[in-house]
Amino acid sequence: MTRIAEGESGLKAWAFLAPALVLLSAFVVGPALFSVFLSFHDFRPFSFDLVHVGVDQYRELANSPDYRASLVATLRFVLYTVPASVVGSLLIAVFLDATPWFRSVMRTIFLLPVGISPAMAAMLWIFLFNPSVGYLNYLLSLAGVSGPAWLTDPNWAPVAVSIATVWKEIGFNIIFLLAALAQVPVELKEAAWIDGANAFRRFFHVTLPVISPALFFVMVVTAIHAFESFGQIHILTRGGPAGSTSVLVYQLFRDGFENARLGLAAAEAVMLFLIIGGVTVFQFVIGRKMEQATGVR
Amino acid sequence: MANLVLEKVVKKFGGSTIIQELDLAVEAGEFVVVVGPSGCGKSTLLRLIAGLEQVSAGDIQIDGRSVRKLSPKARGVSMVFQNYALYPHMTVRDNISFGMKLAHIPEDEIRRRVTDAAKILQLADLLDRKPHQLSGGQKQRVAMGRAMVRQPAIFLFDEPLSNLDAQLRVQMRAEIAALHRRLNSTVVYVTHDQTEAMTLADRIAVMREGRLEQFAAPLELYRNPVSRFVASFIGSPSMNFLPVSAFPAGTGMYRAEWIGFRPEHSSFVPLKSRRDLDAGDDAILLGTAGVKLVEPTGALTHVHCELAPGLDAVCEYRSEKLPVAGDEGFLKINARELMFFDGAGVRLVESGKGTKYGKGGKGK
Repeated sequence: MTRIAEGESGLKAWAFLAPALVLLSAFVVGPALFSVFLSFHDFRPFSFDLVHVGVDQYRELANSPDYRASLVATLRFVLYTVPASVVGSLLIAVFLDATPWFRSVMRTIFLLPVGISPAMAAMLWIFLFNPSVGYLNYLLSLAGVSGPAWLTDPNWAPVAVSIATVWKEIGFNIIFLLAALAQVPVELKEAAWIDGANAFRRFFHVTLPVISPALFFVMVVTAIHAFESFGQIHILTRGGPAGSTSVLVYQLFRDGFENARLGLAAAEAVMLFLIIGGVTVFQFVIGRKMEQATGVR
Repeated sequence: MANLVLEKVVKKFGGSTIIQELDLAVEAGEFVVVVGPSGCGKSTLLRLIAGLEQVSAGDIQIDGRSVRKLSPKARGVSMVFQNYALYPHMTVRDNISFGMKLAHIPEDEIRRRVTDAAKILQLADLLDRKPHQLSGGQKQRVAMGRAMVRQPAIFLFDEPLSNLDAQLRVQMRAEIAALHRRLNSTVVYVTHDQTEAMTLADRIAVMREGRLEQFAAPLELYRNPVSRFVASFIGSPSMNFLPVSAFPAGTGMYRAEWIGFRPEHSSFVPLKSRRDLDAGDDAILLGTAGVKLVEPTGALTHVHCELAPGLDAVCEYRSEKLPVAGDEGFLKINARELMFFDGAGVRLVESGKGTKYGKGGKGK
């Protein structure tokens, strides 16, 4: 009896799962597996020649100065965006947490850019970054600083792209950290206050350790986003100038859709998957450890 | 060890007044328990003493020194919180020594005090654990250790036992009492549990709607409550209150509208054992009482009965054969123990000793 019942409920479960499974396999799992398959083949989209080349394309990537340059550009992009975004969102979140009357309005304002499409956001920044008529350099000139050629100077373009990216994504981090701050028990801060800790010490000895798992999570997610960046770069700089903003995904796009080498692009996608997968596993292991260490979830 | 004086303390939050002109004087070394229903302002009172909140008016003095404008740190108080409030990322040792480190107490002195506290509170084996590895009782002991090592002028406890299970609560209650005897420190302890209040306190402060209703030793509160509120709050099960009209004519005092008697001063007499009815001058019989609920507690049994619709009372029953719901009988009340209250709930006491009681009797 029970076995039949189990069989029935099993069938029902599959029936409920089926739509999601079909869509997921058609649009996510299938293409992902196909990418892995492609990465071992030389595939030109217009001739439909599919030649098995083994790990040749991975070897090519390992030896390609372009790919290495894009890896460096990506790491630089991560280095510019992650600390700025994490520290910035923490400062803003702490400020908003202390000013409840201000919070809901400001939270919405900071979250707005997250909702704008990357292309729109990038267009906005093109105007702001314009060296001669842009608002940014106008403001700098008021302060007596002559602003750089943001998007055409190889040294400044990565900075410009990072500024636009941090602006667009910081709202998410602020929301997440605000939630984490709200979960720090008031009694903990009060206990520390009675123990003789001033506001500064209460923050560094109590609040910060307690929210550290959330902070670490935000850091990793920001890093992953940085690895995945494409839209704003495509519009702001097209990977230039001189490849200074040609990050991994942009390089992939160029190889796949401009140079028509889908197999090579697939290999790059797999490499990117491994990098992000590695970061995720790192987050998982360390995050679990931190939660255990602090006893906070 | 220090004394604590509250003078006309007022606390307002926005438009509402939480504490209204409250006076309280706690002697050095005294264990004072503040009780009251939730919302009566007892926790706010504790937070005012701690310095977590500022008084709106009035003054707070510790050892004669006004502390109303001082930060919690400068007041020399420590507090044990209901949910322990242990720093989750620190070991037990670090939790206990955090305050001392902030106060720049020398390392070896810190170590000595932690070791002492750990010995007293049986935490010696737990010093390197994190709070989440401890049981509720152990966490509570760590919180007490943290409060203790700072050698505060006054210990504040905010419902410290309410997160523990019943058995552990009794045990921790004994430990807190023992700790107080040992340290001989001044304690202000907030709870809503009248048993905790009765067993721990030197004196109990009963609060109601932001005011101090009565401040007296536990047995004094039990024997001589000033109001119906205090009478109903102290003692378990609660005192019964019946309108004067439920009693034989002549019972009561001038202006009395309510008569109170405790379950332990009354008993249930089933109809069948009517021969017990003639119990002499000191007893009042009310009937007919219908049994609604029987609660055996082991040594004795509490019987809830109904004298008339809406007129309920709880009394004791001390016989082998328990009544069952639906049985009928009489309420036998010790007339010497009646208390009289006016319509506003104020206790009426006849000048001189004792009160006038039932059947026009005068006692002996």
